[in-house]
Amino acid sequence: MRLLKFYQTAVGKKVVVAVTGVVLFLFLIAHMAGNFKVFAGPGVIDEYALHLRTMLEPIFGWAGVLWIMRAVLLACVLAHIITVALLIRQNRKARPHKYHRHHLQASTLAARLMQVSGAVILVFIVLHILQFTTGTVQPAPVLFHEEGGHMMAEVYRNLHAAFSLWWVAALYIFVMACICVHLYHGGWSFLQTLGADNQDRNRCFRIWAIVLALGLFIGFSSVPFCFWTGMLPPPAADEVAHTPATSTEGH
Amino acid sequence: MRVILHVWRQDGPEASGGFERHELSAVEPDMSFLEMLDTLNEQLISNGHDPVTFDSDCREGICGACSCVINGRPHGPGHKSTTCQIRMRAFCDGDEIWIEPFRSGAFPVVKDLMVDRTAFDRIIEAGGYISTHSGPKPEPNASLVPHSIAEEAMDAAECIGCGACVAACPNAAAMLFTAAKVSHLGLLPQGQPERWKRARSMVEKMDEEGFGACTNFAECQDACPKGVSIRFIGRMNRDYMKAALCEPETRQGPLKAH
Repeated sequence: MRLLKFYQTAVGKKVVVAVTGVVLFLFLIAHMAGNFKVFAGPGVIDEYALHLRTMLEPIFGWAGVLWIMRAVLLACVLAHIITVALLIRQNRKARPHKYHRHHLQASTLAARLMQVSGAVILVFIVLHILQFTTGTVQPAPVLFHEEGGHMMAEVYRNLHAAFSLWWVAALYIFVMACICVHLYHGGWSFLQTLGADNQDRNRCFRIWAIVLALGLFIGFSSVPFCFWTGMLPPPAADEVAHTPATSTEGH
Repeated sequence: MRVILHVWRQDGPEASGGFERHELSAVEPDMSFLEMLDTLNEQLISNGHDPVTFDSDCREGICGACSCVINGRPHGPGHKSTTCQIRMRAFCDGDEIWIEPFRSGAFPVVKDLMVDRTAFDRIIEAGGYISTHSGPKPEPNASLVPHSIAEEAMDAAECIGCGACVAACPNAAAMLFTAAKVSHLGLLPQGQPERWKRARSMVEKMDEEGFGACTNFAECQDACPKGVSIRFIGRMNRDYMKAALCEPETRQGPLKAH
């Protein structure tokens, strides 16, 4: 009851957007750290993908932890988007008659583009899962093999195949730029919404937003960029890829 | 100097309005913006037309009565100034000036450039007060306030309730106004008894009045004639979170042990 009342106010909704945004941001950090394993050699990221599924297997079963994480992330994405949609509706209602001239003075371009960058990221998330997790969308062939009775994606091989296509790599780097822009505003905005900002800290928080936005952009883009330019080696030829995709299990 | 004015004319809250073009030739650079509008009205009246309705009171930047969005900016081109403090020297000879009312669903247009800002009064009524005793004057040093806190409370109390924050916000949010009011009382000892109740009821009232939600664009801070900081919005959010989620609704009665 109390939570519902909290959520009904604009401030409550903003807090929900901020907190779910932080969870998604933490996920991005973890995802990027996982991606860096491609630089450690072709087998390492596949080992990591297997580890994600066997982690705490005796308690949660095969990929149990992974599914818990997926459920939390899905809940956060949905809460983030639905709450933002409700806020947008409230904001549109709050100004029924537009200005004939309205000069925005203080806001950054990133802030004004939050809805656009957010929409691009949403479409990307769907396509990204359809491409590398389920293998439904295959600009380049996505291969799976069997591991202890479960289907596993050939992570390194699939990444290499996809990002060797210039347009796939370019598209990924473009979306990472959108994430960068989204986080430049979001990385500061959540601190302001949660009331952590003040005159002493503001400069640090703005720098922090630049560092994290650029850090995630460079970190994430390095993988498609390095595959595209051939800086990362192709997978070993003797590792034969097996079954084409039908399973929902993968990276 | 000569200026071309495009003034918003609207007969009432329900009427549809439009811009009306006027030319003023005898404008002194030292005239205030409102004096320029007075001149326009004299010209309109002498020609037998309806004068332009606009709000004004003290004309020295402290009452918060004057409004208007001038060339797309609430209170016009000045920094930390109200419409009445703008001088015509801020414009050039032959400039076209577009004058619109503050636009927000919660601020219905009364007529022309005048909007009804009583939504702000209702937010104040919801919690912008303190309870105090009506007996003899207490010893001033009985409750000490650190200097920095007193200054911070004064920074929030600078808000004159003009509504420029709502006008400047792309979402017509009243967060800066409400935050200033929640904070200037919430920082001082006198405001502590109602602190959590105040945060809750004022935030809820703000939504009820139909204002939008903050997107941290910081446009309000830029347009505020008193330079109230958006830091107070963060402070209000923090107070509201504590009030809505942590503070007990009732402190009475036993706890059931069975």
